[in-house]
Amino acid sequence: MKFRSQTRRRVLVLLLASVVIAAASPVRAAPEGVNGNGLERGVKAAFLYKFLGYIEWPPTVFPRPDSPFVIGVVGDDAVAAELAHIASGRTVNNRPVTVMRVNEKEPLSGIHMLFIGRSVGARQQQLLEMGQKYSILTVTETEDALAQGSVINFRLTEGRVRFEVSLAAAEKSDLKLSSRMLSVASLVHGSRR
Amino acid sequence: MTTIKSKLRLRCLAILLAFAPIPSLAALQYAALADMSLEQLADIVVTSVSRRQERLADAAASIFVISHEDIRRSGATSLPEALRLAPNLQVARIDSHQYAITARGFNSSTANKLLVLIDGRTVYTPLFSGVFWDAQQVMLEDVERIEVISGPGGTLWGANAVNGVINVITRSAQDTQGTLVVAGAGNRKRGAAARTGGKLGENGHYRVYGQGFDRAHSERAGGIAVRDAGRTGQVGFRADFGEQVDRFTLQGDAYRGRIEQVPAEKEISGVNLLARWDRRLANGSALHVQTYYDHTERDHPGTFSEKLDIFDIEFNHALQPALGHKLILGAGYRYARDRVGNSAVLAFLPAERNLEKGNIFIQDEIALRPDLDLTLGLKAESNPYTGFEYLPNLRLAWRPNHNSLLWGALSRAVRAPARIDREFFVPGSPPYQIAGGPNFRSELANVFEIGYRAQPTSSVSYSVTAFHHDFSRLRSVEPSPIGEMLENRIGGTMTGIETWGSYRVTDAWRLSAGLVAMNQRLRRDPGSADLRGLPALANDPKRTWMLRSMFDITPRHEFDLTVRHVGDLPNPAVPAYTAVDAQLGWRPDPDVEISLSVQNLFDSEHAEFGSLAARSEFERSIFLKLLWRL
Repeated sequence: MKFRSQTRRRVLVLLLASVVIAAASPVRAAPEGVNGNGLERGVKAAFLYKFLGYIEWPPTVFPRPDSPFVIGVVGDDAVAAELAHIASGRTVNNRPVTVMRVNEKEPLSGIHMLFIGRSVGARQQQLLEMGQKYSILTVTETEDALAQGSVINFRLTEGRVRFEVSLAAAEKSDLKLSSRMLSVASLVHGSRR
Repeated sequence: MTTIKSKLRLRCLAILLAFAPIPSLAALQYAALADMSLEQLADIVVTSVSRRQERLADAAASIFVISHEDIRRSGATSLPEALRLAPNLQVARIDSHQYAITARGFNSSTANKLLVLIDGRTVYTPLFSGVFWDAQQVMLEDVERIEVISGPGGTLWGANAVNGVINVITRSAQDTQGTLVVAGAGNRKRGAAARTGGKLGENGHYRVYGQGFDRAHSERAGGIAVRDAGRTGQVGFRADFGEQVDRFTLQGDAYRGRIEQVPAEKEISGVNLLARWDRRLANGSALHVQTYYDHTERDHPGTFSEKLDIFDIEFNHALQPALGHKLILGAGYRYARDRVGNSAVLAFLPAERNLEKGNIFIQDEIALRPDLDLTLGLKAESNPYTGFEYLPNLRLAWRPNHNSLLWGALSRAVRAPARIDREFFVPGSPPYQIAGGPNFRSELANVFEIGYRAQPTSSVSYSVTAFHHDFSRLRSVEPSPIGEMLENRIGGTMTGIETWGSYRVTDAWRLSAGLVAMNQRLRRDPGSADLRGLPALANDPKRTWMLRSMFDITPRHEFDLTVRHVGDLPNPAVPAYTAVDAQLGWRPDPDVEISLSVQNLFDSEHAEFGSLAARSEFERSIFLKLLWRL
């Protein structure tokens, strides 16, 4: 039994040491900076592209049956670049996809989907309000964005990119979200609240 | 399945990116992301929170992932039912509450070669190194996914993971906000569950939940009622804090159940509390510390009772000490206090036992080439009976292109003795007919696996694994002048293939299929006089297969069909059966789901496990469920 108590002591010492090391380890904020790493940007861009196929806009927002989907990106050049790569040469429901970087002060007419990067900060609220007027599908990536009126909000959960959806905001923008998309959403805020 | 593919792909992407000198090339690779489904995208690990989590997902191993959506559309109301979705598991129902579950064979009601974790907590009894399935109540609506690995996982998971690991992962509290109410009733069971979640301070979230089930008794062939009806209930909570650098989780559950049996109702209860801390450091390194306390009680009047307290702590550190190396170091310690109340029928002696286990492990994943990874790992684990056991493994993964993976593995797996092997006596007082062996040693397996996974198009994915397990020192029951004694005098092999795949026919229709074929050869060692040990070790079908169709009739209506076939079991003989389960789902409103599921649609009744005199048969059952998000 001497053997066992030795084992235990060794293991406990090791564990204690580990915990101490863990606690003492210098914490550097996410090395990738405020917008996360390249892979995260790539996955978000792919999501934005995929969303187009699961959302129904009011027909009035498209001048012609083959008018392009226009995705606006504000405050995140990396996502805009990825999205442009993805979209080039692809169509969704027979519509080509156009990506444009949007200046925060520009009007939002003609845009169908607007991705608002984290770096936009306090201007986000205003952009979301504008989005609602133009039937724009707004997509954000901050904690309380759904409460501010965003339709889709990206979250990082267990290291994965997930999205939550506000049906109330979608209704206000006159957008219909497919149930298949809702089934993947990590959280669906109902329309009755 | 799809989740594995996406991870594989992403790994390839990540590797390509790491070696890509030109940013535009990287952007080009990301374009492949656009071909993935929403589910696949949602499952890509963009920041590795815990090395172990990442390890599992893109491991060079036979891994099947049961997704939340798979569970939702299966009509499963208990964890064992949900596990039927994994083609690489053998799930056999014994009665209304008990199951025999294993991977790669050796199934029995006390199966001992599978490790089961629920949110990192080992669900395990030191009595026989297995799982009491009647006590594992998980609120399935809050399960994120279940990872099922067939094959040894000892280097990372320890000496219980001989033939497989089941990892049940519930959603983080952040993903279970709001209130959910579920109620269901059918001809064999009824139940209800509720959960509510909210915010805790700046960056914390919590949920609390409760659920209860009432299951009807089962029947023997010919309709004779078995006394096994029961009621079980569980409440619990989970709180998660932080996200970017530090993540802290605190969770706990308490449960109780009363299940009829002869001569008197058995009672089960338990409570557990777990804390976990993950810290992300620079350069892709991460720290993980987890500790839990788990108390379980069970009383089987006339047979035995048990009070078990487990305290467990583990630590691991993942780091990249040099380019091309992913190193993970870890250690763990477990203390268990087991108090058994013995009966005239059987005894565990000593009745009270303190059991300690400790382990240290190291594993390095070496990128030999951008498309070739070599993984070397070793765990040393101590147990109270045989001291240190060593669990090494070697894995090689080759990606010939960005959507396929060829892998091979050599592992040594060990099942350390459980109390039943050393301290078990029948009857409860001398003279004994059967006695645990004072010299019972660990069971050993040398395992060779080779597998291939691919996603040739965005709608098709599949996996094929061939395995060969070479067992030695398996448990035998040797006659002796003073009664039978447990020893290690059986050896043998288990050879087979596991394969599954899925095909998204259209966006609204998904087909999947799985098949396992195994051939087991067990033999007594020279000199062994075993009579009862060999038949008790295993009772496995040579073949199992399943087909599943998930069809969205309209965006609001779903129709799902599962066909399961299990080949006949040799001893005790159980005939082969094919069961068809169907579920019709309807979402009248995004917040409301109504589903009607029928199990054993065309089946008057079938048995799944046990001898004719002692086993239950399962007939058609119907369950109507209502789920409401408030």
